[in-house]
Amino acid sequence: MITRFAQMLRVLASGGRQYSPVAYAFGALLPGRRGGAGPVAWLRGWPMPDVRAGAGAIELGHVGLYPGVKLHCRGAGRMVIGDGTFLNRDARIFAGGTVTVGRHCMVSWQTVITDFAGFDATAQFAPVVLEDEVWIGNRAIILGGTRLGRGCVVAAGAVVQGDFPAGSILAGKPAEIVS
Amino acid sequence: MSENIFPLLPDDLAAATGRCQFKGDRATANIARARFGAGTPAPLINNEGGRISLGEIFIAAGVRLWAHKGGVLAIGINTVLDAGVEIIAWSSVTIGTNCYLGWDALVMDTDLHSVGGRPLVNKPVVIGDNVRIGARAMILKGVTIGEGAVIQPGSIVTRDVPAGAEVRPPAAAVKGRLTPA
Repeated sequence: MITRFAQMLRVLASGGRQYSPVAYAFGALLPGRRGGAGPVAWLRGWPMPDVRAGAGAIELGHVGLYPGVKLHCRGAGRMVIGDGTFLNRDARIFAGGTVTVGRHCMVSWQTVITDFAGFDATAQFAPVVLEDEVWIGNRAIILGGTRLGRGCVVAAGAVVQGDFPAGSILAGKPAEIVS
Repeated sequence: MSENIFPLLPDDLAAATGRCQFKGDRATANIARARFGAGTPAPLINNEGGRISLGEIFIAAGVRLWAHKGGVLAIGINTVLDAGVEIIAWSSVTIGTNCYLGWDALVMDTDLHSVGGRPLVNKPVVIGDNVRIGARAMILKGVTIGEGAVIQPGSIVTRDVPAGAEVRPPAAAVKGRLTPA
């Protein structure tokens, strides 16, 4: 009881950012097939994360899911997310093949990570690998066939596809004055 | 032209047990044949005095369809509107059959408000059959997209696209490098 009270105090003191035992309890109720090492935590708010493994599999480590996160597999899609990674509000991950996110990654608001390689690609789905400590900015799109090395930074709004070595800073193209 | 890679799977249709949230005029909206995906928020169809006509299409959660006064929104059969798609019809938006619109795609035929006292100009948007539109693409007013065209994810389309063409956004480039820790 005292431990529980202390945990609640800690959660309150951190503004609800620290994973609460309540959130762990909810994490155990995530639908679909799910394996992995750690408990999943989600932070309070609406809508609650939407995790759909379907016929595929989702393996989550000790992952923080903010409200509105969607993790979807299509067919036999497989998704692995490592410990210490968090997905901020409305981030979405889609796996038709394989999506692997490493440990301690930070994924920002409304980011889309998909292994969908493009509409006319020969392979519909190409694996996506984000290594450890990758930081992805707001509204970026990560497409199939992407490999980001350790510690890559993706700027807000960038559309990323390809193989990039560790420590790269990637950015999209800013708008131009038309007239 | 390759086939639609996001055909409706039997699972999808079985899972399409959701309901839509409807606002506005039911008399001028023909949505009986559309199937809605389950999930939150429920798809929102807002008819503010326009006309909406939907064929046998699949509409995922989070989709928003909005026909303003005088706007016409028509979508053909077998089209898939994936999660978060927004379609705003203040004059006319027509989408053909067998199309796919990816996550968060935005189609609008209006700028929603005028700028600097100029009158607001709405121009109709026409999307042909078998068009595939990727996630986060934006189709803006006055655009006609020909049959079988492909709009890759993240594109912003402001001009007409001929049939069978492919549109892709500028790709991200390496702008610097972090020194390894």
